[in-house]
Amino acid sequence: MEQPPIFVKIDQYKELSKTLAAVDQKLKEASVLLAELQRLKAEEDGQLAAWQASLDEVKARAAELHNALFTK
Amino acid sequence: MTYFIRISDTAEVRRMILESSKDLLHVLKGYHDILETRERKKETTEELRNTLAELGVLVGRLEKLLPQQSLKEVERFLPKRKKIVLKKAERPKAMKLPSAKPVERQAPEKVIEKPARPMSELERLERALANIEERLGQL
Repeated sequence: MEQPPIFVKIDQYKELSKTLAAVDQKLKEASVLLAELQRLKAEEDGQLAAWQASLDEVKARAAELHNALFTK
Repeated sequence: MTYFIRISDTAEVRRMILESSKDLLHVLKGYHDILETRERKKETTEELRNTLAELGVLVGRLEKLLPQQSLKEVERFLPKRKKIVLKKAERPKAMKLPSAKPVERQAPEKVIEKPARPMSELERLERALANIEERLGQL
């Protein structure tokens, strides 16, 4: 048997509706900010990877220089 | 004492030194880029934190505006349905069991009161989370 519907009185309906809209808006803002944070994190990861690659190159060149200068 | 080292391919060695310098400058530039990205990240994180705090306030307001009663409490006001009981042969009466010995109640442990200290932000959040979980469990 189906349960009968329950009607609940909401005193400040307009206020509630407004607050819900504000919650929606804030959720959207938070979502945008989170996406931006993820983008920045990816950017930082990319920069760190490039940094690592540059350092590896310098390391390889230093080894070559060492060989050229100090190996008979 | 002074040493002299013979460099067979001077142009190549010079090229390697210059390229190493160039790479190191790239690394330094990368360091500044990373600092800038981190600064932007910090600002965005702060902005997100503020937005979430505002969201918390709004949700709190929403909670106040919504009815406080749970569905179970509301159901008490609904008309009760009559149960249809099919007549059956009379059941045998339940046998009386010898009364169990009353369980000795233990004296409640003394609670040592700690001096109140201001709650940290993390503790406040943990308490709010526990409260919400408890209420969810009651649903």
